[in-house]
Amino acid sequence: MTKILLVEDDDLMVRMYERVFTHAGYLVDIAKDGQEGWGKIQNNPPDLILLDVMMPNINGLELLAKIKADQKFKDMLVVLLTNLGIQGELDKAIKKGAVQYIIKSNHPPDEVLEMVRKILVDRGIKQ
Amino acid sequence: MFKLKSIRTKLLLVFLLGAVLPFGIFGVLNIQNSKADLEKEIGNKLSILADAKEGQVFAYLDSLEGRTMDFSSDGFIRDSLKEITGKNSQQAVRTLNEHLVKNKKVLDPTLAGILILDLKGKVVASTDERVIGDDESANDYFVDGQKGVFITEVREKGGHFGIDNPIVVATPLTDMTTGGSLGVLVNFFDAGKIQNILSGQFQLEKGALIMETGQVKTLEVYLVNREKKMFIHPQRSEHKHTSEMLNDTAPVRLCLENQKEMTGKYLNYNGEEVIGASMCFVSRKWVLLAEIPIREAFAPIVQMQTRFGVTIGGFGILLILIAFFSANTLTGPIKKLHKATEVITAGNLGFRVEIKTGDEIEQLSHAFNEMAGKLQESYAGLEGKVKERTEELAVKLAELQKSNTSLGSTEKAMLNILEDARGLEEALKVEKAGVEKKVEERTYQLREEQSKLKASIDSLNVGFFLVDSALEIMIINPVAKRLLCYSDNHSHPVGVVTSQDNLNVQCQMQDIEKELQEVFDLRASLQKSIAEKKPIEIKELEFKNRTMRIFMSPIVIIENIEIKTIGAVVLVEDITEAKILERSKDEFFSIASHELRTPLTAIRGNTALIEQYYAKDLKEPELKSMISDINESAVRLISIVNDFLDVSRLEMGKLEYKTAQIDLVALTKNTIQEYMTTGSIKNLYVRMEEPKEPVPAVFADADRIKQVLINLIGNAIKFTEKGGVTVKLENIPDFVKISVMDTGKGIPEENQKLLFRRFQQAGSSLYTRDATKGTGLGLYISKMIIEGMGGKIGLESSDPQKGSVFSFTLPIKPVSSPSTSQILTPKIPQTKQSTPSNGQNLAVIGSVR
Repeated sequence: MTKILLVEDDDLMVRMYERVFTHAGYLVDIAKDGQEGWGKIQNNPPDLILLDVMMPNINGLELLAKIKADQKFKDMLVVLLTNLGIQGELDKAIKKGAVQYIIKSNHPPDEVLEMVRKILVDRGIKQ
Repeated sequence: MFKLKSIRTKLLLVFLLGAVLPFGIFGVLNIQNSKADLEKEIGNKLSILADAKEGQVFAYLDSLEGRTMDFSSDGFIRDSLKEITGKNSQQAVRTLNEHLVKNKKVLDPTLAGILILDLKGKVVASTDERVIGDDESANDYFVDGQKGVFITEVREKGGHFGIDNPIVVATPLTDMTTGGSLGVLVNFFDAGKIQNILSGQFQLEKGALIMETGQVKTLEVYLVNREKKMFIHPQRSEHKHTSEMLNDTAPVRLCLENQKEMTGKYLNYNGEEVIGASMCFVSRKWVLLAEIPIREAFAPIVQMQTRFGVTIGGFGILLILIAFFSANTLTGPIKKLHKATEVITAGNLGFRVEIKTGDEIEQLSHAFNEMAGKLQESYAGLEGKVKERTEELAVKLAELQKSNTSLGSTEKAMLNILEDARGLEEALKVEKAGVEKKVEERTYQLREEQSKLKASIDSLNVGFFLVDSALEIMIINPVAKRLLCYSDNHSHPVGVVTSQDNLNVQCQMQDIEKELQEVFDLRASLQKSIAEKKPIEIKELEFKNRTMRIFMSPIVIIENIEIKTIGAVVLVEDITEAKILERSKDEFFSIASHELRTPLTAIRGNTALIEQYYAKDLKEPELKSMISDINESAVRLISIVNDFLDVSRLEMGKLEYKTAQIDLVALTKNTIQEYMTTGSIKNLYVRMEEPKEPVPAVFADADRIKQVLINLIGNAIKFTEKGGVTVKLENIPDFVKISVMDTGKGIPEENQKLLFRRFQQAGSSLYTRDATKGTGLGLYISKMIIEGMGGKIGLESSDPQKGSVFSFTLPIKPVSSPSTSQILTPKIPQTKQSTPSNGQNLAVIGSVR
């Protein structure tokens, strides 16, 4: 089963996306902040990371930088999930190695699922 | 005339060498041969002659011998001798003498005398009585005569019997009965006969020789005795040379010493060269010589030689003459050519030479003529050019002379002017005094003005300085000094000039440059602004922990129609606080929108999931409808939050456009498609009209265009009951125009001007009654987006019967802004401050005139 790591501090969002991806057949792991996220990545590397930007301790962008700086994880698929609207920052994130960013509020869950599935298929990871 | 190196001479030499020489050589050789042959032949002939003569001489001598022996056999003589010697009878002597004279001597005319000698050699009898008793015993003819017959020649002059050089023949006389020797008989013969022999038939020989060779006068045939003395010579009497002549010549020697004969050339007794032949009488030791002097022998040759020489000479002269004249035929044309060159050199270029010899010289003449022709041409050309030039020079000369005269007049005029000037000077002095007074007044006024100006500038709460065209600071106010000239902590709020500001600090351009050098090249920007006559704005410059806004504008004066810059004005504003405010505003909105969105996302998402996973539990229509409403509300709220965020960012100028080349046709089609599947369209159509001509790609942000399209289409659908929405694309110069046409009720005129305003406050009842789902910000946002991308948006037309047409344009080329700010700033209608565009904010001083 395809492993997805969800790094998100808001419980509402956590519950919703866990629900969505589990129903869709993915194995979902949760991390509540950047630190926890980094630990989980190292111990149990996932196939794809859904990364929220606004988080305490280490924020999403910082974690992204960390992941990409590490030889082991630099090819890791990272999708930014955010409700921030700072366009420039988000575009920069793509340049910094994120595969895509999704503005949560703009897409119903099934759209998010589809986008993730596409990314995985592109990488060659089947569900 | 006879030059050593002329053709003539050469020709001559050639002829002579070629013709005469071989001929000469041949001739000479021939002559030599002939000489040799002649020599041989003459020699032969002489030899034959000598041989013949020898024979004759021999014969004659034999006859003499015979005669003498005959005498010796005479009995009477013998008996007489016996008697004389025995009895010594004088009678016998007499009788014998008589006998000798009468009977014997007469037998031979050449016999000059006879001697009878006794055994003692005494003459006992003779034809001449006078010699009786002479002693002849010493003579070899007595001695040898006793042994046998003996012939000898005796060289004496007028000796025995009065003859010269007799031939003496002696023979023994013997007793008739006993045979004993009685004595010797000696005959004395005259050499005349031999002479005759040698010369007698000589005539004949001579004739023979003459016949063959012409003239032979000097043939000599003679005898030489053992003493090498000539003793018989046919022409003795005439001959100069006597018998005393020594003939010690080659043939004589050869005969006497070697007993050999010879034929050939040698020197004779006179030392002359002769051809001769010798015959050798070996026993008698006589040499017979037949000689012809070479001169005469070779006379014919000489003649031939002479003739030959004459011929050659004549030939030679003929050749010379021929050479002379033939040379002319050669040198003639050459001379002609030579003359022609002289003529042409002298200047007559038209001269052509005519030579018709048919040989190389004629060819040369043709070539020569050609060359002359060419020369003439170029000369003519040159002449033409020279003429032209000369004419030009003449013209120039005339002009020069003209200028010269005009110069003269100018000089005069100048002198006049000088005089006038002097007069003026005086007048000026007077004026000056008056003017000075006025200037004084003026200066005072200006100073006043200046002070006012300075005070105003100094009181500004933004930094201000002014530079001249050399970028040197003319005026600078305290705020500028504070901001730019010296570093301190800038603890004062911006815009407040305190007494603590060091107003006397020197601040030159280089100081400011130094301060700014790390972040900003002030000089370069100033130069650019001045050069391009355009203002430049730096919206944000981070400098020493402050954020500055710098605005520079060239100072321009209009001289006639020319615009000249004489300097620049620079404003510096510390916008740190404003920025901070802005940033916090931005942050506020970001965080606010984020906080609002998160729960909204949860509501929307979960309701969607409920509908998805628990569809079977939602059979109850009311339940289903309520879930749906919750979802819809969430969506609507999310949209409102998005709009608020957009507006705030757009108004702050923080919106970034991801511009790219966009295919509008595809984008429009896609958008319509999406709208049809996700939006509610009632029962209206939404379609795109196919463009009539190919639509070029536009330079814009795809997502934002979509946003605008959705906004317009959405509005159209909202206010249309039947029919539908059509989107049309058109080309206009530099832009593409997109029109959204609906078949609705149109928009009342009083509302039209409120359309693109924020919140559209003065809405009509029509709008509010229709329970707008929108925020009222849609068109406002669309306007800002389109204008931010460099296009225009507006309501094109509205008709209650036909419907409304909204349209917007997008640029084909990327838009470049006149300022160097990095962010495209849309116009903010609220604020009075307008950013400069197209040089409208130039500080214009005005016309100088």
